[in-house]
Amino acid sequence: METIVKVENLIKYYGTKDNPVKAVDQIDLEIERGLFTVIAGRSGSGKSTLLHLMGGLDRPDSGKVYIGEQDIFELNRNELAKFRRRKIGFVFQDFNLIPSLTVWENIILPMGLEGKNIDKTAIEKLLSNVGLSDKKDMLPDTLSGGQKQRCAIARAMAANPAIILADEPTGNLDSQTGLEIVTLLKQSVKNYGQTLVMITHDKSIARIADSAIVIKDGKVVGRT
Amino acid sequence: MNMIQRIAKQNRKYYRKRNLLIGIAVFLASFLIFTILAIGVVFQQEQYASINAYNPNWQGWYKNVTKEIAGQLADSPDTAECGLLKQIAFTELPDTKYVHYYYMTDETVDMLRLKLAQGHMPESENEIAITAGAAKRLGISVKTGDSISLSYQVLHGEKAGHSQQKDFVISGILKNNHDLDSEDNTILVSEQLLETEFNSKEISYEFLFRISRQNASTSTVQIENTIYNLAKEHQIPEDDVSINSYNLAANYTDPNVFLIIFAIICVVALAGVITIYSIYYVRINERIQEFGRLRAIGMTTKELRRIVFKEGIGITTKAAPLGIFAGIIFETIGMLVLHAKSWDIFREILPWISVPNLVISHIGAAVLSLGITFLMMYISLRKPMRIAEKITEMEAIHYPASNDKPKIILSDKKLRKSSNRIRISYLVKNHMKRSKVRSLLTILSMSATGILVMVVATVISCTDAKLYADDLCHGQYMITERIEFDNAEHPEREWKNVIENNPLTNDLLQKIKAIEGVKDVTAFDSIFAEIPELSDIYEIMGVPEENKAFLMDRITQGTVTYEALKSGERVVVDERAARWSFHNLKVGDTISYVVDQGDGLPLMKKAKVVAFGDFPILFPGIFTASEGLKNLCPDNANCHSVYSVWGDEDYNIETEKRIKALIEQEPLLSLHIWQENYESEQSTDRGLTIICCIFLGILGSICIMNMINTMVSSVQQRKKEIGMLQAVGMTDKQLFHMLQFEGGLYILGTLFTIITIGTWLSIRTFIWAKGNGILGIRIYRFPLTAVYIMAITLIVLEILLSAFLARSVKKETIIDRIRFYQ
Repeated sequence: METIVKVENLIKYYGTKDNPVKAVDQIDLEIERGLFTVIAGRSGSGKSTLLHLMGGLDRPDSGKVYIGEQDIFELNRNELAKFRRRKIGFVFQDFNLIPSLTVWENIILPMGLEGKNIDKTAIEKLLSNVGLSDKKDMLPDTLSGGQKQRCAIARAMAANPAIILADEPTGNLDSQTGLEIVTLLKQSVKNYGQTLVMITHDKSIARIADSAIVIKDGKVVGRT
Repeated sequence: MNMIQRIAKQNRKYYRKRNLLIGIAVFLASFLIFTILAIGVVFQQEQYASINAYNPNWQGWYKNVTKEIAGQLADSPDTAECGLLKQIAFTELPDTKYVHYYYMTDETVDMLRLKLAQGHMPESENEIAITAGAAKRLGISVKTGDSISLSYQVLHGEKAGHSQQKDFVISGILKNNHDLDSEDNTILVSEQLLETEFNSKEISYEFLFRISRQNASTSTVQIENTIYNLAKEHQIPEDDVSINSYNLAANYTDPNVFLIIFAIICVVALAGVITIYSIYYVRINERIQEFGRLRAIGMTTKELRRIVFKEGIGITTKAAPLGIFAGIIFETIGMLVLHAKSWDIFREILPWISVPNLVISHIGAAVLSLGITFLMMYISLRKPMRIAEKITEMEAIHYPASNDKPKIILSDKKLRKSSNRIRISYLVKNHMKRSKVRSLLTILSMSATGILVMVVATVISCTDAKLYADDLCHGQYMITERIEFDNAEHPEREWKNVIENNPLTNDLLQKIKAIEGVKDVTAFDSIFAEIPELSDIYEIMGVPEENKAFLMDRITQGTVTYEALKSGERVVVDERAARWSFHNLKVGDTISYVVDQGDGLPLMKKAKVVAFGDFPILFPGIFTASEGLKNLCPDNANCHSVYSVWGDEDYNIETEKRIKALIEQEPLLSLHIWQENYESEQSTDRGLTIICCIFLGILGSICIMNMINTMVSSVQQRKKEIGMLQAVGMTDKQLFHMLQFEGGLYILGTLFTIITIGTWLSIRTFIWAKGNGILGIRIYRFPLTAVYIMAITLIVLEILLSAFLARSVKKETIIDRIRFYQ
């Protein structure tokens, strides 16, 4: 299968100069297009740092991340921002919706920043898929946690990016809602032909993924 | 150190950047409060010292007092020192200069600060004591024992008798204080001469006195009341009472001075309170989780209040003394610079300044400034303390994502039509709508100083030196006539005689017009009439048709055409004269007047007041068309009273010399020069502007802290949101534009508030100042320069702040910002 994400010798330190902590330690890995890949590991293992580096939200101390053919760290800040809004969708644990915008506006935000005209039919279909058709004109404050996360998923998928990176999207939800969200995510990316990379430490979720990467102390220690 | 103090101290360190803003605001406020108090104290003490050193020290002065009443007044328990004065004559000298002859008792001499440098006071009828100034004016050098022949006119009431010659012997040389010695034109005569010249029954004296029963706590108001009450007891009309306000102000407490200082300090403190309150209000909302955690681990509401209180007071403890110290340095340097030019005068008044008093008042000013600054901080902290104590334990564990149930009950307000176009401007608009209370608070607090700037700038722009000079001189040069009544020695100055042989001839007008640099000459006519209602002679001015714009353009109330004024039965009255001289005359009222046309048959006339106008102060209060005065100006007489000369330029020394040369042989004519008045007022205005600019500049700086805080905290508070926007693809350029747009809306809101409320308030201030004759304000001028300066300052500041914030945001990675609240 075609590789969508390629990570080469990625290293990231945190902490002070005197006391550096290696969060990501010389990781090499490839993620295949169209699959649902889970990154698992204990708290502090470096899985979130790896995901953030893959999405260009953070910069590594060394190493490369390719999304498709593009080494994302070769891009300058503005180019990287534009690349992100076109190619990568993010879903975070705490939703990160913009509180002053309605559900609809949050979803079309990446396209708005791009200055693109939106395909209303496609967005309405997306809203319907995530079950928020009747909430489109509501502000995030009025939604439940599950509804917020559905909105965040719709936003991540709206610009039809090649890859969706989800950082523990079920972390703040009860297990039933969490499972619904993951199922929705998996179904959606399948429908739209996208790749999903998700961080989780929930084994039941890991079980429904196509592939799993296990991280420990900043290193890949297992792959299925 | 207990735990509360330790937490407050650590918080101050942790939030040091934000605390720096509060510290600067406190520093500037305490600096300004101390400087106002200290400079006020020093200036006042210096002024009072010079008053006590040089000025007369009488407190009350009654006119037209008989010897009998004077005796009763002297016996009154309210009277301490007292003396009598009577002007008996004057000698007129060239260039409108005079020497005055007075009879004074020794006490009066003492209260007027005259001293006998040589000889003795005049005792016999032919003895006089003379000041150096009077001798200089008379062009003589004198020593005691010298004989001198003087020509003088005796004054009977307001009537001056014929000139008479008398030989005198100089019994003493008088000395006045340093400043006025050369200007004093006094000659003292003996009581014997007074009794020779006047029938003792007709003598009315002036009674000068100081009141008794004064102590340190006596106020100027109490002394004034005693003086007026004493006059009332002895049937002395209020118009005949004068108060030496300089002496009272220099030695007693004037409640009005405190009121003015209090008002200025209130303005400064208010700006400080709004700024500090706004900074704390924003900050406390950012720290809800932090306080929630403290509640969760067992801190009481009282302890939370104390943490907020101690944080604020800790900043004040450091910043306020620094502000006061800076104030002392500023004041010292300022005083040295101000006194550099007048060091000799300063040295002379120094003995009159009480150094211990000065030190005590400075300590008092410092303590008061500290007190006001701490009070200002306490007021600013009240609301944040209330917010802190209301925070519950749940706030600590509250996390937006943890709520599965809707946080806010669904209402129509939470529903709004979604837009299909998300632009930067849309994001900003929605953000500001969401935080509208804070946005409004920021705009209002930033506007508060701006509104004050508008009001002060309006006052400054309305006290235009040109307007002041226009008030005192209509035209670049103005020639007026010297008209007097009841001067036996100078009957030629009587109006009826002046118009018979008027030096303001058409020939003179043509000669002036022919002078190089003269563009035009406008002639005004006048008649003098007795107004029975006022028991006074009043000038009524006629405006020629070619200059009718002078009259018509100045009408402020009522309507009239120039044609309608030609009948002479309608007049336009100056609005200030209507209020002050005619005691609230109204448009539509009728004025009666009597004109003496010289034929011995006084002509009784009536004129309707058809309008009020705003005319130069130097002009009389009643105007009509020149044609309307024709019937009142006797046949073959020339009623010209003023020539206004208009030059090609504001001032030309050659033109002045030529006009002077034309009129120097005419003792009845006086020349007024616009440029002289302009330069004098310009110098006063410059001083006023500098003081106002320094004051408003510092006040503005306090409020700028507020703008910085709002924008910084807006970015700080939304770090996560901004990070998220960048995660979904917002570029740095778009971020910069967003911050700029946001700041721009604050600026627009602030400028709009400043201009609307500021203009309204400044117009109200202008109307009040004009109505009360404050600072000679007459024409409203919008303070455009001040608005430009404010707008440019705010815009530049906003651009710099946006750039700085956009840069500071870049220092952190996106993920760091997204994690900000996690």
